[in-house]
Amino acid sequence: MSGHTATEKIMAKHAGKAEVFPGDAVVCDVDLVFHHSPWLCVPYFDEIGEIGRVFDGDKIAFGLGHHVCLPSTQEYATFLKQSREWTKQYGIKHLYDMGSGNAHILMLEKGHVAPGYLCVGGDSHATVYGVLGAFGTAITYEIADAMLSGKTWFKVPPTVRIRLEGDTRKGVCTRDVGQHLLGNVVGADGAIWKVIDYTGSYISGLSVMQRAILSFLAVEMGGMNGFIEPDHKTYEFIRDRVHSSYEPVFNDADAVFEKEWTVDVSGIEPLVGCPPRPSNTKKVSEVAGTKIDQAYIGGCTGSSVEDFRMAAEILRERSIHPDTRLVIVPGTQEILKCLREEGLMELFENMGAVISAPYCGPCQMMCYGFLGEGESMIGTHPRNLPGRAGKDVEIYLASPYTVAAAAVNGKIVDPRNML
Amino acid sequence: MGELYRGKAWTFGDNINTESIMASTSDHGAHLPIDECLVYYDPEFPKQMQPGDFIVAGRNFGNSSSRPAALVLRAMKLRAIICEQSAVIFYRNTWNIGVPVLECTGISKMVNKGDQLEVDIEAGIIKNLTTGKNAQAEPPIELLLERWKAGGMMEWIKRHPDLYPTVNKFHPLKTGEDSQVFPV
Repeated sequence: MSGHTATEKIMAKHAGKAEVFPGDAVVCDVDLVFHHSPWLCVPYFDEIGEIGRVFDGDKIAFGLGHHVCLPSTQEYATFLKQSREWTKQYGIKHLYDMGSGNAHILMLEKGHVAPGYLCVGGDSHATVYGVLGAFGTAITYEIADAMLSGKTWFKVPPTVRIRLEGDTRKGVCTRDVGQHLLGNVVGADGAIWKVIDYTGSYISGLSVMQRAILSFLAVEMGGMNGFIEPDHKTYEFIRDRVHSSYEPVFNDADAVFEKEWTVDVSGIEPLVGCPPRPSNTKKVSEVAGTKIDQAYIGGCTGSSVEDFRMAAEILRERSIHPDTRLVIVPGTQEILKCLREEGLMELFENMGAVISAPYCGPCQMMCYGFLGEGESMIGTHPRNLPGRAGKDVEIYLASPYTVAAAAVNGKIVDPRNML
Repeated sequence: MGELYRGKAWTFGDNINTESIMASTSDHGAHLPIDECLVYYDPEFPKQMQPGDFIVAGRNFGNSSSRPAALVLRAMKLRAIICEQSAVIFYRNTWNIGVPVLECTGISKMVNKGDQLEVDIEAGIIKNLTTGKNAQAEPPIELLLERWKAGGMMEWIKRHPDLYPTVNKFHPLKTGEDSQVFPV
C-alpha cells in the first residue's frame, strides 16, 4: 500500500475520512471562504430562502479592494455599499475595503491561510493558498453554497510534482521560471483536475512571496492548487499572522505523484508571455524591439517588495522613455509601507511613474488603467487573454527586470544588458 | 436515457478562455456582455446563435478566470457545451448554473460548424444528424448532473434543507416550466 499526497491527506481530514484516493468524490469542511465581489454570490441567498447568517462568520472574508482601489462608477460604489451592509446582516467578520490591496495576498498576510487548511475562493488565483501548505482553489459560483453550508465537494485530484533545482542567473527571476513552466514544461492544460506540488532546492531558497508567484501561476497551467510543503520560511511568515490552530500536512515518503518533472532553473533566460494567452512563451530576444506604450509593475505575480527591488535595479539613475508610461501598483498596504521605508516609492515618484493605491492592478480593465485601441502593455501580472483588457490591445507578460527595461527603452529589450 | 435535444453546432478550437465568453467590464457584472460573447473567435456567434444551439470545442475550454461565464451562455439559451476537455472551475460553475458541459474525446474532429446535433445529455450520447456519426461522452460528475436536473444549484440547495442549518425558511421549489433553465 502506497502513501498519500498532502492534498489527499488534507481532503481526508476535512471530509472526516481515514483516507481518500484520487478520483473519490468527497464533501469537505472549509476553513476559509473568500470572495472579492459579494454581489456575485450573496444575492443568491434571496433566491434560496430567508437566511439568518452564514455558517461561520470568522471563516468568511470579503476583499472589496481587490479589483478596485476606488469605484469607477456609481453602480459599482453601490455594490460596495451593499457588500458592507451584508457583512453586518449575515455576520461576516472579515472585510478588506478600498485601498487595502490584492485580496489573495491579504489572505496570506492577515493570517486567513495556514498549513493544512482547506480554502475556497471566488477567484481563480485562490491556488496561491498552496504556498503556505494549504489546499486552496476556486469554486466561484458555488461560493454562496459554501458560505451557507461550510462545505464543498471535490473529486480528489492527483498531484503532479515539479522539482526545481539550482538558481537563476543574473537578470532572471521567479516570474521567468513560472513562465518557463507554463510555456515550455506543463503547458496551459497540463495540470487540469490536478494539484501542482513544487519542490526542490530552488523552492527552498525562495521567500514565501516569491514562491507565491508559482502558486498563483498553477491555475494558468490548469491546476487546482499550487502546493508547497511548509518549511522554516513558512512558519516564520505565519508566526505573527496566524492566530488559530493548524496542523501542517506533508506528502508521505512513498506518496504517488502522477507525473514528475525536474527542471534546472540555471538554464532559463528572460521570457515573455505573448498574446493571446499566458502560455505563449517566447525568449526576450525573439520579441525584442516590440513597441510598448505602458509598462506595469504589480498584480498577483509581481507586486511584492522583492519584485519592486528588482525593478529598481534597472530604473535607478535612468528615466522613463518619453513615449511610455510606467504604472506602479504595490500589492498591499504592508508592501507599500516597506517600499516607502526602503526609499523605493520616492525613486518611482521622482522618475514620474503613475503610482496607485494597492489593489490587484490593471490586469483587466475594471478600475482604471485602460489602454487605447491599438496600444500595447507589458506587465508583471499573470494574464493577457482576449476579452480581459478591452479590444485591439497587445499585452505581454514578463519579470520586473524585463518590464522595467521596457519602461526605460519604450520597447522590449533584454534586461541583462542593463544590470 | 434522458431527453433528446436538437440544435445547431458552433465550433471553436482549443484553449477558449472565460474572458472571451464573458468579457471584463467596468460595471463588474451589472450587465451581461452578451454582444461580446466569443466574438474574438467567431464574430457571428452572438448575432446568429439560436436558443437550443450547442458549442463544440477542443481542449481546455473555459480556462483562465473563474468568472461565472456560463451566465452569458444561459442568457443566450445555449443548450450545452461539448468539448474535448473542460477547465475545472468552468466545469463546476457551468453545470451549477444549469448549462451542461460534456467531455468527449474526438468530438472536435466529428462536428463542423452548422451541423445539426441530437444530444442525450444524461446518457452522453451525441448524434451528428448532418453526417450520421455518433459519439459517446464521458459520464458527468454525479452531483453536477443531479444539480442540473434539479434546475441548477439554488434549486438543489432547496431540496437539501438539512445541509443548510442557517437558512430559516426555504422558498418553494420551482415547478413546471419555471424549473427549467430555459423551456425546452
